[in-house]
Amino acid sequence: MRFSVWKKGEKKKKFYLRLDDRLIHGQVVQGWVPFLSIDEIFVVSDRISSDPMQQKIMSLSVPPDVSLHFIDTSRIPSISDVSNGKNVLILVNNVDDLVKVASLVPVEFVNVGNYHKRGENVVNLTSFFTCSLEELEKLKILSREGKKVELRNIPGEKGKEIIDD
Amino acid sequence: MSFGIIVATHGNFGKEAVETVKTIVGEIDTVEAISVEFGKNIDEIQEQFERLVNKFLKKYRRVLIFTDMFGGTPSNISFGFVKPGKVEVITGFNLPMLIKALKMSMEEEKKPLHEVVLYLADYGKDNVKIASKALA
Repeated sequence: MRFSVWKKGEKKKKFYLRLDDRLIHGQVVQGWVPFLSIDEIFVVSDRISSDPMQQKIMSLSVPPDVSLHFIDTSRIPSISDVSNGKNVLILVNNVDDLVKVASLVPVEFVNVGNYHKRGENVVNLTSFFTCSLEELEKLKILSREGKKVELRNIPGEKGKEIIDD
Repeated sequence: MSFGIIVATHGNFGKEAVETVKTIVGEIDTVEAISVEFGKNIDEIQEQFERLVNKFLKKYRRVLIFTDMFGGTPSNISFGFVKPGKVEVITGFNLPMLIKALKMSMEEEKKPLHEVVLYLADYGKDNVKIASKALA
């Protein structure tokens, strides 16, 4: 895992990771961005990073003082290069990308928001979260590795931690 | 007919708005609502939009989408369908502009859609009043 060199007296950079199949929308822009005092947003998606139209649409609602980056999964390690003192929100829309980011960036916690997997063998954990058994296992592994993985759609509600049982 | 209208909002807000305006302008089939629920799969919602936009394009050739809030999911999805003059989106709709749009959609509207939306957006803004100022 990469950790940036942190000198005493320098303000640390903080990374927060959120799973949300809508990526940027009201709950993120109105809720999490002010709540976590976010300076930079990284949208990690192979699909969106090559779709200028979707990028344009998403960027419209982000406040001008927050910088927004769209990157593909191969560039995840570069997220750690942001300058010290910055609060960074990383958004992914699927569990595999979530696991990739969590393994390459030292995130404070993993926030789980809107996600609705369709098909057989899915588990519904809250009104906003349905995943496959396989995906749930991947989230539990993150928790086992010491990451706080919390189901919490908006800052104003009580979260529910996913713990490895 | 001149254009179809879709009202896309978070929850049932749009559906109720459409029901309410029908009590004012009467039963009308140029308008349909889409309720975007947080409990739904995003691809499913996307497909729902696609079906309705295509249906209205076939029927009316032009589509006007009203959404509740700039930056929200109903808006973000709608923006992906914009074709200037053919599919237009107005965010932050209110009842006065929806009623006006419905009336326009029932008439043989000759105005190009990009002019219709400019007119409706202004009309909606003009209908936001502060009571104490209006009464003064």
